[in-house]
Amino acid sequence: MRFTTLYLGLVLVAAGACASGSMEGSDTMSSSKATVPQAQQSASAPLTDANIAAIVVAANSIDVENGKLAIERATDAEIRKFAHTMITDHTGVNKAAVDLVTRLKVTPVESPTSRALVASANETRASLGTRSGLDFDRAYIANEVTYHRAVLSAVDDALIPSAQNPELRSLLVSVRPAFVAHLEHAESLQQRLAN
Amino acid sequence: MRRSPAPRAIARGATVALALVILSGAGRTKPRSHVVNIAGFQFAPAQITVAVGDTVTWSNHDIVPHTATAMDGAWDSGTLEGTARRSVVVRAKGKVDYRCTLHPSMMGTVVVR
Repeated sequence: MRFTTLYLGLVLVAAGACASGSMEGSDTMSSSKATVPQAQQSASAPLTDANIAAIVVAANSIDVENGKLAIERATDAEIRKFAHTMITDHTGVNKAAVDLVTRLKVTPVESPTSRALVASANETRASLGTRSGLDFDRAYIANEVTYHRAVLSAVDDALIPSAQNPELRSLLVSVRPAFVAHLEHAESLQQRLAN
Repeated sequence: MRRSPAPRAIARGATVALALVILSGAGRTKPRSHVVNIAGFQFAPAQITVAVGDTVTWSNHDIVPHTATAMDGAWDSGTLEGTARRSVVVRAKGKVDYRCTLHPSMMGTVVVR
């Protein structure tokens, strides 16, 4: 499915962390790695706090923009309400992240991963922009499920383990429940739209 | 020799005093305040037991807004922006399940006795 491939950047951040660490059993990622070798190579580089900050800002901004598109195009009231929540929450998380890195005097530094993330998100939005009605609603919420799963995977397997500054790590830990709640909400809406 | 009326008078006085206490409400349990914290996308405690007339205050510690909304429509905190607090006085006995309407996986219960 098209939308399942669009957040490989985040998934590969986690895969890169596994590859550079002592974890075994990475065979399950081999097919994905084979399809995007450049992204794999860049994702395996160690992440600095400045890289993590840029990834966090990019990831939250992506879902804010997706939410704005959904408010324009979605027809289902619950989908529109969900989109409003995504805009509010991810804007809030971004503000907290920016406030923290500003205080820590850490300037976010883009990496191939954050750039790939933004590029694939732009591709996703372009595809979503061609849809309408129930077709849009289903595609949008399917993408939200995929996106939040990928973000959680990256947060757990790469961003939190790589964060050097304790306050940055603490922020990542504190915002994790937001992504869990969003994923559960998105899965519930996806189930409802499927029926 | 006549018996002293004192014991009967004392008993009558005590009855009147007790009646006054009951009428004035002084014997009633004073309404209490309870706090439910919202942190990490959870209500804590997730279930509280209160009495009719008690006040429940929801205090948001997350960086995103939440609500505490009774599923039967009995009460609604409205949107609690970050660090906001909102109180509700419970008026009826029963068990009320509530949730955050913005994040439906967040649920809690108020038991009113």
